[in-house]
Amino acid sequence: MKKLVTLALALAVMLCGAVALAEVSPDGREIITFWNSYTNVDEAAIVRDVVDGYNESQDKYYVDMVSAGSDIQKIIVSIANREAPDVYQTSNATIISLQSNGLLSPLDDYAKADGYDLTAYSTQAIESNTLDGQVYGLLFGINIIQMFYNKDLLEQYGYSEPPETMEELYDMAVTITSLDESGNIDVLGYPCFPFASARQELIYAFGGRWWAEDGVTLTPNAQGVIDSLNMNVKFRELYGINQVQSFLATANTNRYTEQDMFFAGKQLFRLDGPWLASMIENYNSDVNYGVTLVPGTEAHPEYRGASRFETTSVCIPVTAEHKEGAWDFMKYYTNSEGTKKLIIGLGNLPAAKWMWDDEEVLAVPVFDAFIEALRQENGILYPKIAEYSKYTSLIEEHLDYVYNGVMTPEDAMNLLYEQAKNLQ
Amino acid sequence: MNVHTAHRRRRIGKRQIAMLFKYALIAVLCVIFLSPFVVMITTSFKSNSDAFTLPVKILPRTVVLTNFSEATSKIPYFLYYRNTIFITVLSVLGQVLVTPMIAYSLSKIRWKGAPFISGLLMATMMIPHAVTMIPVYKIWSTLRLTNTYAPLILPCFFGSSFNIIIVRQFFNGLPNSLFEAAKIDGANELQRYYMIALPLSKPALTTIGIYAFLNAWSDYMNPLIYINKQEKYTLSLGLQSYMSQFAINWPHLMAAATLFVIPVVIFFAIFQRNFVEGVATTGMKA
Amino acid sequence: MPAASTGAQQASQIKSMKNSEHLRRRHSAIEARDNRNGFLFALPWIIGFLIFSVYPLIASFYYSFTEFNPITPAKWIGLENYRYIFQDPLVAKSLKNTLFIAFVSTPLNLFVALLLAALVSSYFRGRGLVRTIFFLPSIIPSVAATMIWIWMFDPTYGFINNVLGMLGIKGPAWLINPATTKWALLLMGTWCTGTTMLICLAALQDVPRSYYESAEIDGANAVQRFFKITIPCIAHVLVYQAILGFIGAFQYFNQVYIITRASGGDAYSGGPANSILMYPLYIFYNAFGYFKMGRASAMAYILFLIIGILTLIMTRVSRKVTDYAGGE
Repeated sequence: MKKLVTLALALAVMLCGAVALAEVSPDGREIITFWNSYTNVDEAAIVRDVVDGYNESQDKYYVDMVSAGSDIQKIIVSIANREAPDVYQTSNATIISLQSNGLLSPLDDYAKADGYDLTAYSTQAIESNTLDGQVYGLLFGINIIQMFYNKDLLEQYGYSEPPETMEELYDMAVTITSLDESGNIDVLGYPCFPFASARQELIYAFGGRWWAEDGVTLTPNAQGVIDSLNMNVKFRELYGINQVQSFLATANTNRYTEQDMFFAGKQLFRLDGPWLASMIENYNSDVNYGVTLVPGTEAHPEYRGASRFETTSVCIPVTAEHKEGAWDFMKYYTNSEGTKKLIIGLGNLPAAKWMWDDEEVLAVPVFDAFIEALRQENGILYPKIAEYSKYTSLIEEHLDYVYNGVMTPEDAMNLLYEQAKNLQ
Repeated sequence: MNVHTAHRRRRIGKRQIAMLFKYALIAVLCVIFLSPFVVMITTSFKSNSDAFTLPVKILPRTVVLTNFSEATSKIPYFLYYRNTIFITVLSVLGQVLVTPMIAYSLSKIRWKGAPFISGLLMATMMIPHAVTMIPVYKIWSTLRLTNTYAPLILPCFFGSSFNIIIVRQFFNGLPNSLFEAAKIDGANELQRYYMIALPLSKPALTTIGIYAFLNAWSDYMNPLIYINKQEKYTLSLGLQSYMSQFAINWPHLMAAATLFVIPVVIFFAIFQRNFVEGVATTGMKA
Repeated sequence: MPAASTGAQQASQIKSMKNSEHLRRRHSAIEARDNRNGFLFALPWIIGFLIFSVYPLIASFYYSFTEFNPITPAKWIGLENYRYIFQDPLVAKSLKNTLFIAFVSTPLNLFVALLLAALVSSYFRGRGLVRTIFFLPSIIPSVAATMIWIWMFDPTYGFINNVLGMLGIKGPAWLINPATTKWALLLMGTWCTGTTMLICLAALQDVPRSYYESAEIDGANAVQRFFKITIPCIAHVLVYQAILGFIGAFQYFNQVYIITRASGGDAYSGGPANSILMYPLYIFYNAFGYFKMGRASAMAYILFLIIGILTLIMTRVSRKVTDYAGGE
């Protein structure tokens, strides 16, 4: 028993002691900790390769990469503990949310001191990482959405071109949606999945916005939103709300796996990002697909091509200890030959404009179409309100009421408007 | 006479039907309770396309063994295993070391604080984790011990109310005369604890040891809050981070889950008797 | 054995000589020593109690009147957090969800546990195996268990709807329809009632045989015997388990957190129509997602209050029930 006590105490002491030891690079370089969200071995390997490239490219800093997952509380608590990473990779929405609480370092001073040209990146991309006139994130990747469609299915039913308006899309969806012998939906025509696109691009296609131009006023009961939901509900009611929901639940279960509904030829339209094409290639799926802009409406064809605009960014937490080194690494990470490896390996659209004309980048499946859309610089940026994520949560709740036939679009959106009033 | 036998026969018939019904119910319930395990194991031997082919078959159409190797190579699974074992062993050690001491103080030493503490034990069990979560987090972060296993292990060295109640109840069942006698023979408190109480409390300690094992092995929220670096993940965290990625390959995930569950089942198989008896004899009935 | 009897003799001798002044002084010396020893033995718990219970309770009470995020010091804002909480539609929603789970799952689990215990309380061949089968799910790590169930709940390829389909029932889209998500959680919960079952089993076996025998002679049938004898005899156990069940339900976190992650929704998802946004999950989002640690502390305190009141009521009821049973 005494031995046990001694052993336990010794272990406890070791445990605490091990913590205090700081990490030092073997050759005495300054260590830059870099957190990203890639816990998958394959993705992490691609990123590590780029980090290694940086470590070899200079001898002042050594970047220590940590796969920290995507849970946001991890970064928050680490900032609180003064053990924050020097560089943190996340989305632009998180960057705005972190900075709304004053947790990040502005980058403009570094850029100015360095003579670094921020116009090397897409204008919208920099804008989406800016709060109150200060830039908080550099970025390597952009996410925008376009419409993938199943060519074979369209041709089979006599359509030679993909739809340009939501009305056309609806007709095709109703014609092509089919049921199996037990009455379950076999092929889904209307792009209700992925849920995030239903919340965004399907709404934008009708000119609907969740917030007004000023980026502060919330407009969940705008006419465009209601119109979009009415069409969505019409489709769901035609085939039965439960049938559609069952199909969607399964689509969510096997999303982006080999058996993904689109890859399996069971989804006619899919509002998704360029990574979908890389996956189709990786899984050797024989789905014959095309890519086109998200439709507009008959009344407003100019709404065509509306898409969210998100970025994969890196930022410096306010309590980081090696900010100079962090800045140096960020430049390499977001705007170098290494970045190109990242872009091609991960299937992200490049933010640094020189890559838009790079042959290797354009050779990635569907990148040409997506990059063409990027040049328009007309993506839809999220409003920079502090409680944006809470607003999203409320939006999703009320959309679910509509999707499940609990409320009419008007009622649900009016209720949402009331509930969102108190948000800051 | 005749009436009597008929009556008896009818009664036996009724009873037999009742028994039949009971066993049928037991059989159905067994199938229900086992089915998630069956689904987990059989899915872990299916290919992804097999898992998503209609009609759904319970057994794999072709047995695929690669799910296990895939699951353990896509994430550093065995590292997570090692981490989890490390935490679990120390947690169990802490609980088993400290709990009987405290329980002994409450049950076998007549002192002013004992009734007071006994009353507080129940009360502390009612404090929701959410209330203490933030300040406790601040304590560990002030000590710069977040992102280490200290917040997961060290609290075990202060005893948990639930375990203390179990062991205290067990000590209450030991006759006081045993300790009085040792006292007369000149044994001091520590000796009485060490030579009499501890050796006798083996069954109770086994029970709390099992509880400590299960708690540490399955803990999710504490690692979620305290552990950042992937190298330090536990199985619970690792498995969850594997799942929440972009796409979920269910056969891989089920293979990983199977590997996660196996030690628990083995552990239970070994200690089953102790556990069942422990639950029955200790003070979980308060 | 001889040692014990000497002890008893000695004790009676001490009693008879209690008047002696010398002994009284010795007695108080013993008392002081016992107090010291008792204190020392319980010291780990006392330290732990101060650090992990008393201090956090005070600190988070203070925090609940402040606004603070991880890097700024706490700023006193009075009752603002509480005012906000009473206006926040998601607080009301999450409280409603949690109350639903608490009030439905607690009796449901207790019923299932009691049923299972009753089934294995009398001997039959293979009883040990059946008991193990009923018990095993409760020791499966919640992360693994939840994943298995998410997979089983898939409406097309999942086990449950396929079994229902064989019975001619069209199963719902469990985890995507806000009307069925909570029932999915309840189903998962009843699968894990093993520990409660074992405790009920132990309680059932403590009921004296003779009670049943005399009742049978009096002509009571099985149902009457169950309600007139079994239930009163094990009532105290049931109430205690109900209290534990309630406390557990109010802390329901892991399963819903994992389900919301698995569905690939955004970081602050509460499931379809926020139907499984449980109160602790929402506290967690407030603290570690929205950076509102003061507000989260206030929410946690309200939870504490609710649990406290409910436990108080249930302990009262339990005392009454136990007295009643004791009186019989």
